[in-house]
Amino acid sequence: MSLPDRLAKFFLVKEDEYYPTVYFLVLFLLIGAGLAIGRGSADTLFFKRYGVEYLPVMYISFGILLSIISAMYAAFADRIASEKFFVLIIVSTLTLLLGTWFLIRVLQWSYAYPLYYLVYEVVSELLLMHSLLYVNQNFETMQAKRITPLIFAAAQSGKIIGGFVLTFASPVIGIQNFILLWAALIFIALILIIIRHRNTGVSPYYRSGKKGRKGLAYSVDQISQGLQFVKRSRLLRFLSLALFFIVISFYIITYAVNSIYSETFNTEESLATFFGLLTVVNGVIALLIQAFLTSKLLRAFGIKKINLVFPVTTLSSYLFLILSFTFPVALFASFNKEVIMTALRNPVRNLFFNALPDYMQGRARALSLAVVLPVSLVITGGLLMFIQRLSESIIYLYVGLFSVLLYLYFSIKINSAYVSTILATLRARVFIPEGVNAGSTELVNQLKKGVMQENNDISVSYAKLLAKEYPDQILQVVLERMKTADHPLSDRLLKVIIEIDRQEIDKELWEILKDSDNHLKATIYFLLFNQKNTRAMADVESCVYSKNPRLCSVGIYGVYQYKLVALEPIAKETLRSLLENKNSNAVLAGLQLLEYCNLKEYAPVLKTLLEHDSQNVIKAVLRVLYIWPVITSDAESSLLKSLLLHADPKIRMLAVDCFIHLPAAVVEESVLIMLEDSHPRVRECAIEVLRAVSGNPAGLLFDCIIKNHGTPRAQQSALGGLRLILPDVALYKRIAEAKVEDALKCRAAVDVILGNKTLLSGAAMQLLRTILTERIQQYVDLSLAALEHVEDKSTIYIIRAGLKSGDNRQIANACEVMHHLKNRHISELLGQFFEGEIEKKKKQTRFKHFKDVMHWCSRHQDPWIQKVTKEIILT
Amino acid sequence: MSNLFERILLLKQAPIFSKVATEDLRVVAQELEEEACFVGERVFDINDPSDRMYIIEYGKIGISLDNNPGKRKFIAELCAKECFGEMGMFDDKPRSATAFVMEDSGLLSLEKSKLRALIINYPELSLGIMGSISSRLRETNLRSK
Repeated sequence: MSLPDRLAKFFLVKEDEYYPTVYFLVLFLLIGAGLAIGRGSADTLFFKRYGVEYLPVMYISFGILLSIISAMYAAFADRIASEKFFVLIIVSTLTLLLGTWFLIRVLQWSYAYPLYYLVYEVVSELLLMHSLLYVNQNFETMQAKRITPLIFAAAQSGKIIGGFVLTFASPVIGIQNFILLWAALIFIALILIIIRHRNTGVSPYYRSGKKGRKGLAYSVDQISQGLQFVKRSRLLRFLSLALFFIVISFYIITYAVNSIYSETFNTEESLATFFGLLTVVNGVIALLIQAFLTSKLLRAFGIKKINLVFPVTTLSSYLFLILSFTFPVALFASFNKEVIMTALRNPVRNLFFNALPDYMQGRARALSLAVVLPVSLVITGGLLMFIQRLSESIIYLYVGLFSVLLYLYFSIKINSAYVSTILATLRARVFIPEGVNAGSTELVNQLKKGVMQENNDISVSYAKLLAKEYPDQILQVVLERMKTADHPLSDRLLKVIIEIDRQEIDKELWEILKDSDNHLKATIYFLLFNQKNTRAMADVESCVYSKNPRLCSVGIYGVYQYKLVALEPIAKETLRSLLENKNSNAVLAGLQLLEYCNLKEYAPVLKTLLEHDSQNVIKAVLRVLYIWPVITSDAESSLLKSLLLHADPKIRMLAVDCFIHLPAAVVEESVLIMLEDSHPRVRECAIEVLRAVSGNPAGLLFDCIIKNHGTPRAQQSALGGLRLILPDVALYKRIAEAKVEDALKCRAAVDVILGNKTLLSGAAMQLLRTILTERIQQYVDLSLAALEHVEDKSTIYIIRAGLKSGDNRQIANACEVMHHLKNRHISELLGQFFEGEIEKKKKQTRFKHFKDVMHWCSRHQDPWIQKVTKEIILT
Repeated sequence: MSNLFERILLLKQAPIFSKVATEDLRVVAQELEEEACFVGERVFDINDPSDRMYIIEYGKIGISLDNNPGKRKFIAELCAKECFGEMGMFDDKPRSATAFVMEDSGLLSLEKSKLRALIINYPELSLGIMGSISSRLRETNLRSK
């Protein structure tokens, strides 16, 4: 393996990320070097040629200036691709730098020093802010999490180089000429950006904002939208408040340490050399932390704990400065604001911003720059000026201390809002609606409207739903719909209300009967006989003697309902002739009757009819067999078992239902065939039957999942069955863990197959690899489905949807949420699994050789894997 | 058996079936019919009824949107493992393009009626197909931005 490959592997950079990563590293190196030179030269020139006591004025000026420039930024932040914006910023900076150099060097204008200081402050803020947006538009969250620390490390390396240049070149080239050097560096960066995007086009995750409105009004609107987001988003609110207080404490401590440094170093060159050295030392330490620790610390402790490091170290800096206002303590404070802030606080803040919805991010950043930062700076400057007039003591440090405490408080609040924000973002992105209020009037009205639809099928479907959920509402709606319905629809609607025993519809039924065809008549008589309507009893005999099989069947029903003993012989004879009729419609009419009458003497006929040519007859027989226990022994079960493989899923479903009358052992023996069925309804029926019959359905279903009996589809159904039985939460935990393990095994097997390209020449081997790859996803999904019973159900549901979305950003957010689940072991395993960081050791110990994979596959309980493996072994 | 496996793999690589599980593709593969086409022939003309979709086993097919089916103004040239004519399987509209055989080709075709019957019996098949169509829509949306 080559050195670049090894480095890429070490820094978790994937193969397709090589070029963009190198580009960003070089770009940030240049920007970092430029900023270090700018920082050192601007500070030295200002402190020595103008005076550190004017810093508060600079803060106020910087605040106002930043607000104006940021308003401009807000106007275009999410409307122009970030690379174009970068070009704009760099060209403006170049112009300003060259102008300032001219004012200092040629015109020797004393106000040029504070001007240069302000130029540096504004440009550095803009570059930092826009760099983050630029990175976000080029990497999704999961990539950003791995690559952003590296990019920051490059910027840090640039700072170190800049520090070296300051240290060694300040006595040689003169402090003011560093301005030209900075200009040269950002010019190279400009060329780099232009070349890169000429080749690759627009940043891949750039989404253009609304077009049309322009100017200040638009940017004000953008910022006010940002303010509205602050109201809506807890995370953004706490991020903004934390920023507000960190800015106050940061600039107060900067003022304090610069006062110490300015007093310690007498000459311009010695101060610049010191700034250079400080930048180098802090830069090296920050770089080492960023390169080797930041991502590992984030992984080990999580974003929430790392988020609290900087507030705590800043608090310590203040306490030390209050106790001892000396050079060594100033060095510690500088270390904190240069090293800890750069290596830990900035990457963490960037990750928090990534949790916000895409449309919010640009405006939220603009709000920070245009409102929060300037207001905070103006307040800081004002406070310092006020305190300067009162006393020259270090009383201002107490203001900073108070500010840090508030910063710490809001950092804790950020942590609490983080996961819920990612979940909300993910929910919106994968379009999961909020919970439906099933009992709402609106829902009932919608269902009623559905029944009134002109389309017969739609009307009946809605009627069925309404009858099931709101039986008290169905009658009036159906009667209303029947006023305009044709006979077939009336017939179907009446069947929907068949179970509703209401005398009040009798009048309407007799009315409809006058003008109905035989089919509708049969339905109406059925309803009347069912209610033992006295007036209808007189019509029973005419029905029995009718030539219409349906009316005939209803008549026989009447005979048994009203117990008309005299008519029973003819009823029995007629029923037998219906069942043995060659016309399948007549058979169906007879079978319909048997659904309501337990006439055991027809059992042999029913068994024969299971082999009838008509699928409708078979279905009707199965419906009868489900209601009445006709097939009850193992010996007869073969009749039903053969139907489990029927092409028609409806027949398979009804056949499964009939297993309810069979012994538990027979059901348990066949349950895997049923759970493997291609139709989900058949699988649901199997679970229902198993629950009704088996003594230990939970054990059976649990074994099916844990021991990998059947395909993931069968296991998914088994899990659905377990859900209804509600076993112990511990069982779900075991399932979740076992399924991640299974996924890992599959991944290891795929790795072995992919590792040997010659193996992939055969179709069977390629198919096995494809199946195992499918299984990885399916097992992970099963694991998450099991976790729904251990963790918050809706959270896991959103994670599953996010992972299935196919959108890298949503997958990344789902992984991030997984890291914060209660069950650390499973969540870390799952999170790492998706981020491709499963320890290599684990992978390697699973399968050493290809034959181990084959052995494992051939013994697998998944019939599809087994089948393909068998083919490979045979060939 | 290996012929069946090859077909399953071919289906899995076709965009419309890429999200369908291989066990469901087994039944689809069994319904595929082989067709051989030769250079210069047309698989179908614009405005023909859309009765089947095709997956290219080998060869090359050119797609032309020109109203004159004789004109060879290709907007796409499809190679092995790619599919065409699939949209008509769901919208019942006539062919929106003409498919020319640019090189001797082996095609596997799937009848619309067979696919529909399969969807009724294997409903999860349709979920996979919808997933694939949805992904393609998403990609098109992203490209158009």
